[in-house]
Amino acid sequence: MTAADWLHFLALHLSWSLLAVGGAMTLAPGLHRELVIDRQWLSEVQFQDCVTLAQATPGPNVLYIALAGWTVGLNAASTAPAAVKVFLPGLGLLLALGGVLLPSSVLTVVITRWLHHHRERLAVRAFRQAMAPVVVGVMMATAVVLGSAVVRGGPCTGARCTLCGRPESHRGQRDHRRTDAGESALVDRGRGRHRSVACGGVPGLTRTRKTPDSPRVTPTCRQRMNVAAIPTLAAAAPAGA
Amino acid sequence: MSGPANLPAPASAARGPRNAFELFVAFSVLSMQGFGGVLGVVQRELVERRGWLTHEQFIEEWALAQVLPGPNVCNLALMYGQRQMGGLGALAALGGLLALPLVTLVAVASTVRAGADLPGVRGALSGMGAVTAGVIAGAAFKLLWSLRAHTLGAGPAVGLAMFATGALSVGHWPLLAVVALVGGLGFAGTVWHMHRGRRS
Repeated sequence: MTAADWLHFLALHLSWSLLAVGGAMTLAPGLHRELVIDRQWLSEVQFQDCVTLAQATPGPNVLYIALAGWTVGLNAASTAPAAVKVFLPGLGLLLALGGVLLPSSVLTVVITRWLHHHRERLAVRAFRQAMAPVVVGVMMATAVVLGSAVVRGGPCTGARCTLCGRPESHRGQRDHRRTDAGESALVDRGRGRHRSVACGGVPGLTRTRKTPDSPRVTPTCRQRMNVAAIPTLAAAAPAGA
Repeated sequence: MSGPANLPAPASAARGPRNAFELFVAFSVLSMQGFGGVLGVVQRELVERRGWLTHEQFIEEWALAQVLPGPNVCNLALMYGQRQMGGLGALAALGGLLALPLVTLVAVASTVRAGADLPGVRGALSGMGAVTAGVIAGAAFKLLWSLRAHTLGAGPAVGLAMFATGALSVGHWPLLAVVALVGGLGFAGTVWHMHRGRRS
């Protein structure tokens, strides 16, 4: 990666910062598209690992972006001159996390100060009070969505077959099975239901549709899973970090 | 936060962090407990354990943090830190929230390869999802209880909240639409109530 590449990397993260309304996971599809598919700075598996690890370890989920930056740096370090090698992972991490947090943080601080300065205004006081029911509603919806996902038996990874676009099913990750060759084949289960989780921080915008009857294994769908959606339902819930 | 302009600190907040370091430590402790989602832990720590915020204040801060771009728990930390100690406080709070988990994450990532396809990982994530659901549900119910003192009146406030819940979880409305609609209704109602209160 050249210096220009690193600048582009930083610019990408800065541009995403103000778009992350509703949480850091809303950025996942964009990140994936840019870093894994378009630029190939990161492999599919590495990206998935970043997200999984960030959710499995304590702390806000936004750190998956930092880890992705670290991994990009690691990847770049493999082809970099020895003098720079050791700094690249750290650089990637700083540019990623700093870039994605800086604009929104500045905005937050500025607005907080403005609101505090004008806190006696009726509109300001009304606004703060008015959002209270919404907040409680969003939290409860999150709890419902998370809880029902657990009851249904595990998170929906939102993964899709890259060819047919059909999502992995809740009840069976069995629906997308890995063949002996390590590829993934879509195994149709007749009238099973598929659910898909849309991106955008929406608490499980699920669509239920019946699959058409079709042969047991669809020969055209032998592609590796493409995780283009939010990996777990927990991440899709709005009250996550 | 909602007191007269000449008071140095909000009278309703019981205590606060004494210095930036304490703020940093508080948020670090909080953050390291949050597997899969820090927000419920924030509520438990700041409101219940430490008493730095009341339920009502927490809701107000959270509402703003949610609406502004950026991760909502990071915004919350920034806002709270900024209120306490200005820019340094904001940095201390955000730093506490992110620093230790970041170090942990990089350490774990460097040593372990936790792919989503490894057998135990799905189960682990599912388990964490369950815990997170429980923590958030608990927090949500406590905040719901605190709505009874709302300007709009307990009935309308709870009604709006339930409407938002239903719209999001059952109706699957987009988040922004629900926030705009319920927030807008709440805002109109609150302004109307406050106007009435002023005139009488």
